[in-house]
Amino acid sequence: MSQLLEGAPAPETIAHARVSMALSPPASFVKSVISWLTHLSQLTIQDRDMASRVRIAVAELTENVIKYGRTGSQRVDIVLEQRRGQLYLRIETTNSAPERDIGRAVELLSQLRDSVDPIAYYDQLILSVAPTHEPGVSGLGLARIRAEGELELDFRVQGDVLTIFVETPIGAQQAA
Amino acid sequence: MDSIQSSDFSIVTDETAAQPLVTLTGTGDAAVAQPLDDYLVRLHEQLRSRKSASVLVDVTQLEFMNSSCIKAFASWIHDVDTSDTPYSVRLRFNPGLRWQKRTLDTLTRLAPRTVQLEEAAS
Repeated sequence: MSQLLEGAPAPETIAHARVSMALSPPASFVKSVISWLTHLSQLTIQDRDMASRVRIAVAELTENVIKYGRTGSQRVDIVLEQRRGQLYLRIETTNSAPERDIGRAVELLSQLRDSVDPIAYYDQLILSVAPTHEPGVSGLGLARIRAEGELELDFRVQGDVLTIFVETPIGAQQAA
Repeated sequence: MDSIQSSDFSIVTDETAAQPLVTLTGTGDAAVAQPLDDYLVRLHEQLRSRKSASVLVDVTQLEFMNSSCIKAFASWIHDVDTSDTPYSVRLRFNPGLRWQKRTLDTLTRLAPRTVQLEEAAS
Protein backbone atom coordinates (compact mmCIF):
# COMPACT_ATOMS: atom_id res chain seq x y z
CA MET A 1 0.00 0.00 0.00
CA SER A 2 1.23 3.48 -0.74
CA GLN A 3 2.47 5.75 2.01
CA LEU A 4 -0.26 8.32 1.37
CA LEU A 5 -3.02 5.81 2.01
CA GLU A 6 -1.38 3.88 4.81
CA GLY A 7 -3.36 4.13 8.02
CA ALA A 8 -6.05 6.29 6.49
CA PRO A 9 -9.65 5.51 7.42
CA ALA A 10 -11.99 4.32 4.68
CA PRO A 11 -12.91 7.39 2.66
CA GLU A 12 -16.37 8.49 1.64
CA THR A 13 -16.35 9.55 -1.99
CA ILE A 14 -18.12 12.88 -2.51
CA ALA A 15 -17.41 13.23 -6.23
CA HIS A 16 -15.42 11.31 -8.81
CA ALA A 17 -14.60 12.22 -12.42
CA ARG A 18 -12.63 10.05 -14.80
CA VAL A 19 -11.15 10.71 -18.23
CA SER A 20 -9.91 7.68 -20.17
CA MET A 21 -7.96 8.11 -23.39
CA ALA A 22 -8.97 5.50 -25.97
CA LEU A 23 -6.61 6.79 -28.66
CA SER A 24 -3.61 9.10 -28.85
CA PRO A 25 -5.41 12.37 -28.21
CA PRO A 26 -4.60 15.48 -30.27
CA ALA A 27 -3.00 18.44 -28.47
CA SER A 28 -6.22 20.45 -28.59
CA PHE A 29 -8.11 17.66 -26.82
CA VAL A 30 -5.42 17.36 -24.14
CA LYS A 31 -5.65 21.10 -23.60
CA SER A 32 -9.40 20.89 -23.18
CA VAL A 33 -9.11 17.94 -20.79
CA ILE A 34 -6.57 19.78 -18.62
CA SER A 35 -8.75 22.87 -18.61
CA TRP A 36 -11.85 20.88 -17.66
CA LEU A 37 -10.10 18.81 -14.97
CA THR A 38 -8.47 21.93 -13.54
CA HIS A 39 -11.83 23.67 -13.35
CA LEU A 40 -13.43 20.62 -11.79
CA SER A 41 -10.70 20.16 -9.19
CA GLN A 42 -10.84 23.83 -8.24
CA LEU A 43 -14.62 23.92 -7.70
CA THR A 44 -14.33 23.21 -3.99
CA ILE A 45 -11.16 25.24 -3.39
CA GLN A 46 -11.55 28.75 -2.04
CA ASP A 47 -7.89 29.52 -1.53
CA ARG A 48 -6.30 30.97 -4.69
CA ASP A 49 -2.84 29.79 -3.80
CA MET A 50 -4.08 26.22 -3.30
CA ALA A 51 -6.01 26.45 -6.59
CA SER A 52 -2.80 27.47 -8.34
CA ARG A 53 -0.87 24.57 -6.81
CA VAL A 54 -3.58 22.09 -7.80
CA ARG A 55 -3.48 23.44 -11.34
CA ILE A 56 0.21 22.60 -11.54
CA ALA A 57 -0.53 19.03 -10.45
CA VAL A 58 -3.44 18.52 -12.85
CA ALA A 59 -1.55 19.90 -15.85
CA GLU A 60 1.72 18.08 -15.18
CA LEU A 61 0.15 14.72 -14.30
CA THR A 62 -2.21 14.77 -17.29
CA GLU A 63 0.52 15.67 -19.78
CA ASN A 64 2.79 13.11 -18.14
CA VAL A 65 0.35 10.21 -18.46
CA ILE A 66 -0.37 11.02 -22.10
CA LYS A 67 3.31 11.39 -22.94
CA TYR A 68 4.55 8.20 -21.30
CA GLY A 69 1.54 5.84 -21.17
CA ARG A 70 0.75 3.19 -23.75
CA THR A 71 -1.95 4.33 -26.14
CA GLY A 72 -5.35 3.45 -24.77
CA SER A 73 -4.14 2.82 -21.24
CA GLN A 74 -4.07 6.41 -19.99
CA ARG A 75 -6.56 7.50 -17.36
CA VAL A 76 -6.97 10.52 -15.11
CA ASP A 77 -9.18 10.51 -12.02
CA ILE A 78 -10.20 13.47 -9.90
CA VAL A 79 -11.72 12.37 -6.60
CA LEU A 80 -13.18 14.38 -3.76
CA GLU A 81 -13.15 12.30 -0.58
CA GLN A 82 -14.11 12.81 3.03
CA ARG A 83 -12.27 11.25 5.95
CA ARG A 84 -12.92 12.22 9.57
CA GLY A 85 -14.85 15.30 8.47
CA GLN A 86 -11.96 16.52 6.35
CA LEU A 87 -12.24 16.93 2.57
CA TYR A 88 -9.40 15.69 0.41
CA LEU A 89 -8.80 16.29 -3.27
CA ARG A 90 -7.10 13.43 -5.02
CA ILE A 91 -5.63 13.54 -8.52
CA GLU A 92 -4.66 10.15 -9.88
CA THR A 93 -3.20 9.01 -13.20
CA THR A 94 -2.95 5.42 -14.41
CA ASN A 95 -1.17 3.99 -17.43
CA SER A 96 0.66 0.92 -18.63
CA ALA A 97 4.18 1.20 -20.03
CA PRO A 98 7.13 -1.01 -21.02
CA GLU A 99 9.02 -2.57 -18.09
CA ARG A 100 12.11 -0.41 -18.68
CA ASP A 101 10.05 2.80 -18.52
CA ILE A 102 8.22 1.62 -15.39
CA GLY A 103 11.58 0.90 -13.73
CA ARG A 104 12.87 4.36 -14.53
CA ALA A 105 9.64 5.98 -13.34
CA VAL A 106 9.75 4.05 -10.06
CA GLU A 107 13.34 5.18 -9.45
CA LEU A 108 12.44 8.81 -10.06
CA LEU A 109 9.18 8.66 -8.10
CA SER A 110 10.86 6.97 -5.13
CA GLN A 111 13.52 9.71 -5.00
CA LEU A 112 10.87 12.38 -5.29
CA ARG A 113 8.51 10.92 -2.69
CA ASP A 114 11.30 10.40 -0.20
CA SER A 115 13.08 13.69 -0.80
CA VAL A 116 13.30 15.73 2.40
CA ASP A 117 13.92 18.93 0.42
CA PRO A 118 11.74 18.89 -2.73
CA ILE A 119 12.87 22.39 -3.77
CA ALA A 120 16.55 21.44 -3.64
CA TYR A 121 15.75 18.26 -5.58
CA TYR A 122 13.86 20.26 -8.23
CA ASP A 123 16.62 22.88 -8.48
CA GLN A 124 19.23 20.16 -8.94
CA LEU A 125 17.13 18.50 -11.63
CA ILE A 126 16.71 21.78 -13.51
CA LEU A 127 20.42 22.46 -13.19
CA SER A 128 21.19 19.04 -14.68
CA VAL A 129 18.88 19.38 -17.71
CA ALA A 130 19.46 23.08 -18.45
CA PRO A 131 22.69 22.61 -20.47
CA THR A 132 20.91 20.57 -23.16
CA HIS A 133 18.23 21.70 -25.57
CA GLU A 134 17.20 18.10 -26.24
CA PRO A 135 13.68 17.22 -25.16
CA GLY A 136 13.32 13.97 -23.29
CA VAL A 137 12.51 12.30 -20.03
CA SER A 138 13.52 14.75 -17.36
CA GLY A 139 11.02 14.24 -14.51
CA LEU A 140 10.68 17.99 -14.14
CA GLY A 141 6.89 17.90 -14.18
CA LEU A 142 6.67 15.47 -11.28
CA ALA A 143 9.39 17.28 -9.33
CA ARG A 144 7.53 20.55 -9.91
CA ILE A 145 4.40 19.13 -8.29
CA ARG A 146 6.32 18.55 -5.07
CA ALA A 147 8.46 21.72 -5.17
CA GLU A 148 6.23 24.44 -6.62
CA GLY A 149 2.95 22.67 -5.91
CA GLU A 150 4.01 21.76 -2.36
CA LEU A 151 1.94 18.59 -2.74
CA GLU A 152 2.72 15.09 -1.56
CA LEU A 153 3.08 12.56 -4.33
CA ASP A 154 2.93 8.78 -4.23
CA PHE A 155 2.60 5.84 -6.59
CA ARG A 156 1.95 2.13 -6.92
CA VAL A 157 2.92 -0.43 -9.54
CA GLN A 158 0.90 -3.52 -10.43
CA GLY A 159 2.59 -5.46 -13.24
CA ASP A 160 3.10 -2.99 -16.07
CA VAL A 161 0.55 -0.53 -14.72
CA LEU A 162 1.73 2.58 -12.93
CA THR A 163 -0.56 4.76 -10.83
CA ILE A 164 0.64 8.14 -9.59
CA PHE A 165 -1.42 10.16 -7.18
CA VAL A 166 -1.41 13.45 -5.42
CA GLU A 167 -3.67 14.21 -2.50
CA THR A 168 -4.25 17.35 -0.51
CA PRO A 169 -6.64 18.39 2.25
CA ILE A 170 -8.88 21.21 1.04
CA GLY A 171 -10.96 22.01 4.09
CA ALA A 172 -13.61 20.65 6.40
CA GLN A 173 -16.89 19.18 5.17
CA GLN A 174 -19.64 21.71 5.83
CA ALA A 175 -22.94 20.63 7.34
CA ALA A 176 -25.85 20.56 4.90
CA MET B 1 13.16 38.86 -34.78
CA ASP B 2 10.16 36.79 -35.72
CA SER B 3 7.27 36.18 -33.38
CA ILE B 4 5.24 33.07 -32.56
CA GLN B 5 1.47 33.14 -32.91
CA SER B 6 -0.96 30.30 -32.35
CA SER B 7 -4.54 30.13 -31.17
CA ASP B 8 -3.58 29.78 -27.49
CA PHE B 9 -0.04 31.10 -27.27
CA SER B 10 2.04 33.95 -28.62
CA ILE B 11 5.44 35.52 -28.27
CA VAL B 12 5.91 39.06 -29.55
CA THR B 13 9.28 40.77 -29.70
CA ASP B 14 9.58 44.55 -29.54
CA GLU B 15 13.01 45.70 -30.58
CA THR B 16 12.14 49.35 -30.93
CA ALA B 17 12.51 50.09 -27.22
CA ALA B 18 15.87 50.89 -25.65
CA GLN B 19 15.66 47.52 -23.97
CA PRO B 20 14.35 44.59 -26.04
CA LEU B 21 10.94 43.44 -24.83
CA VAL B 22 9.56 39.92 -25.21
CA THR B 23 5.88 39.43 -24.35
CA LEU B 24 4.38 35.99 -23.81
CA THR B 25 0.63 35.45 -23.68
CA GLY B 26 -1.71 32.47 -23.46
CA THR B 27 -0.84 28.97 -22.29
CA GLY B 28 2.55 27.32 -22.71
CA ASP B 29 1.88 23.60 -23.00
CA ALA B 30 3.65 20.57 -24.50
CA ALA B 31 2.90 21.67 -28.06
CA VAL B 32 4.58 25.01 -27.45
CA ALA B 33 7.79 23.77 -25.80
CA GLN B 34 9.87 23.11 -28.92
CA PRO B 35 8.89 26.32 -30.77
CA LEU B 36 9.61 28.22 -27.55
CA ASP B 37 13.04 26.61 -27.21
CA ASP B 38 13.85 27.39 -30.87
CA TYR B 39 12.72 30.98 -30.38
CA LEU B 40 14.87 31.46 -27.27
CA VAL B 41 17.94 30.08 -29.08
CA ARG B 42 17.41 32.64 -31.85
CA LEU B 43 16.75 35.41 -29.34
CA HIS B 44 19.97 34.60 -27.52
CA GLU B 45 22.02 34.76 -30.71
CA GLN B 46 20.48 38.08 -31.63
CA LEU B 47 20.98 39.66 -28.20
CA ARG B 48 24.58 38.45 -28.15
CA SER B 49 25.34 39.79 -31.62
CA ARG B 50 23.85 43.15 -30.66
CA LYS B 51 25.72 43.13 -27.36
CA SER B 52 22.50 43.90 -25.51
CA ALA B 53 22.83 44.68 -21.82
CA SER B 54 19.45 43.27 -20.87
CA VAL B 55 16.12 41.93 -22.07
CA LEU B 56 12.71 42.32 -20.45
CA VAL B 57 10.44 39.28 -20.62
CA ASP B 58 6.84 40.10 -19.77
CA VAL B 59 4.81 37.05 -18.72
CA THR B 60 2.03 38.96 -16.99
CA GLN B 61 -0.51 37.64 -19.53
CA LEU B 62 0.85 34.11 -19.57
CA GLU B 63 -1.96 32.03 -18.12
CA PHE B 64 0.13 28.94 -17.46
CA MET B 65 3.41 27.30 -18.45
CA ASN B 66 4.19 23.59 -18.16
CA SER B 67 7.48 21.97 -17.20
CA SER B 68 8.57 21.45 -20.82
CA CYS B 69 8.39 25.22 -21.33
CA ILE B 70 10.18 25.79 -18.02
CA LYS B 71 12.92 23.50 -19.36
CA ALA B 72 13.21 25.74 -22.46
CA PHE B 73 13.58 28.80 -20.23
CA ALA B 74 16.14 27.01 -18.06
CA SER B 75 18.25 26.15 -21.11
CA TRP B 76 18.11 29.72 -22.34
CA ILE B 77 19.08 31.12 -18.95
CA HIS B 78 21.92 28.62 -18.75
CA ASP B 79 23.12 29.77 -22.19
CA VAL B 80 23.01 33.41 -21.10
CA ASP B 81 24.69 32.73 -17.78
CA THR B 82 27.57 30.84 -19.40
CA SER B 83 27.92 33.17 -22.41
CA ASP B 84 31.08 35.19 -22.99
CA THR B 85 28.76 38.16 -23.62
CA PRO B 86 26.12 37.76 -20.94
CA TYR B 87 23.16 40.08 -20.51
CA SER B 88 20.62 40.37 -17.75
CA VAL B 89 17.18 38.80 -18.01
CA ARG B 90 14.37 40.69 -16.30
CA LEU B 91 11.20 38.67 -15.83
CA ARG B 92 8.07 40.73 -15.23
CA PHE B 93 5.34 38.69 -13.56
CA ASN B 94 1.72 39.03 -12.55
CA PRO B 95 1.24 38.55 -8.79
CA GLY B 96 -2.41 37.64 -9.42
CA LEU B 97 -1.33 34.48 -11.25
CA ARG B 98 0.10 32.66 -8.26
CA TRP B 99 2.07 30.02 -10.17
CA GLN B 100 4.22 32.68 -11.83
CA LYS B 101 6.17 33.79 -8.76
CA ARG B 102 6.82 30.16 -7.76
CA THR B 103 8.06 29.20 -11.23
CA LEU B 104 10.12 32.31 -11.81
CA ASP B 105 11.72 31.99 -8.38
CA THR B 106 13.00 28.63 -9.56
CA LEU B 107 14.56 30.21 -12.66
CA THR B 108 16.13 32.93 -10.52
CA ARG B 109 17.80 30.37 -8.29
CA LEU B 110 19.25 28.77 -11.42
CA ALA B 111 21.22 31.91 -12.25
CA PRO B 112 20.86 34.65 -9.61
CA ARG B 113 23.44 36.95 -11.21
CA THR B 114 21.58 36.83 -14.54
CA VAL B 115 17.87 36.76 -13.69
CA GLN B 116 15.89 39.45 -11.88
CA LEU B 117 12.21 39.37 -11.08
CA GLU B 118 10.00 42.40 -11.45
CA GLU B 119 6.46 42.45 -10.10
CA ALA B 120 4.02 44.19 -12.41
CA ALA B 121 1.97 46.99 -10.93
CA SER B 122 -1.58 45.80 -10.24
